[in-house]
Amino acid sequence: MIRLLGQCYLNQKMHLVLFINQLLAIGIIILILTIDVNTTEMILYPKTYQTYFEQMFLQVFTVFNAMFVLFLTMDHDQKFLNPYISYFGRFKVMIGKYVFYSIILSMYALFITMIWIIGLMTLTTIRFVLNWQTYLYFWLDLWFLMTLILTIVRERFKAVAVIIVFVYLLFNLFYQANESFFLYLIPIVQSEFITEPFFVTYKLTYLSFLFTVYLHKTLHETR
Amino acid sequence: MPLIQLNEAKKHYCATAFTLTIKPHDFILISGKNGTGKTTLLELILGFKKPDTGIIKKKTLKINYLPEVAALPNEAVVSHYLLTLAKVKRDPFDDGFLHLFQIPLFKKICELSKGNRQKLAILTTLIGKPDLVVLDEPLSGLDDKSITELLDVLKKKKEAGFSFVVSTHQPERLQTLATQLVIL
Repeated sequence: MIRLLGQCYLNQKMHLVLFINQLLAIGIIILILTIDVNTTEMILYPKTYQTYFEQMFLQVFTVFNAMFVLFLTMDHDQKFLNPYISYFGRFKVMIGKYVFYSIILSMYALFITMIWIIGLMTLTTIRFVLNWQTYLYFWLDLWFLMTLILTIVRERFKAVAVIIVFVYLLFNLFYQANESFFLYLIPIVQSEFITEPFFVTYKLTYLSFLFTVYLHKTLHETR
Repeated sequence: MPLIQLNEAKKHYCATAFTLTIKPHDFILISGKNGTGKTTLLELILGFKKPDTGIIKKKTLKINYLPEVAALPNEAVVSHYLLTLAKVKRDPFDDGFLHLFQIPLFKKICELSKGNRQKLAILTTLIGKPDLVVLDEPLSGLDDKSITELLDVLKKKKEAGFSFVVSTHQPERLQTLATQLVIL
């Protein structure tokens, strides 16, 4: 099923989106790691610089990844799925679609993280210590956005995907750290909460909840 | 034991309440003027729409479906797509149909003409081991020769035990195969 969906979804547009995104990501990573850097200070304060770079990474890639997920998933609801649904059943097709997009996102996330780590090790003098939580929380945002778009956006209302991403970006830009109510409502990545031990559990639970909503909606909707 | 049973099933926007029983090995032709609810009836059979009133009794079925407008993944290459579909449906692909329909195999689907797209879409409904095949306007966009070839293929599949529900504006072309004719 996933192979079949891959053949259907991985069209020229999708290839172009993936290729351009990867090129841009490499460019952005090089820019972040080379602009405004004092090599001597970096040797003296490696931890401070690593934190500084990670903050930059989070800020820039919040916008960048949101755009990536938007271009990747906004066309997910296609008419060619109807014959598959009637033959294989909704459950199989919808799970297949979710797994397909998850594979693409995982590969993308691994690629970006790999380039980022290689960049940090080759373009800077920092002795890099992997802070996996930062990346894990960050990449969970991709799944959050993906699941929201797969659940809400339908072929006739593709523009809703743009609104979802726009709200996500607004929330990221204008979020106040002391308003924890919003964090519970939309648990997207915030540097202030990365060190909180509950955050990853809450986020994973929230994602499971969203996935349940996705399944419930797609299994019961009319087409 | 019927595959699907519709009892006074009705959508609010459609004037007709549908009552229909589909049994194994049936070849049901549905015809009628525009706007009488042919596609709605098919969508109710497929489970894409739920009736506002009435009852639909249905087993869990594998249904091969040809939509009114052939919905295919445009960027896929014809041969790759057919082979993948056959593999996923766990069906040894009968390439005799390919020669019969004469579809260009190594073109992308978006490069096919309307008639060839329709032939390809029909071909995809013959792959697999479906309990029922639902065809919405299968003759649309096909020339006379292709229609004759299609009729031969449908006859063979009917003899092989396939069940069909076909909506068409040209029931006279398919009448020889039909076991039941529904005029809406």
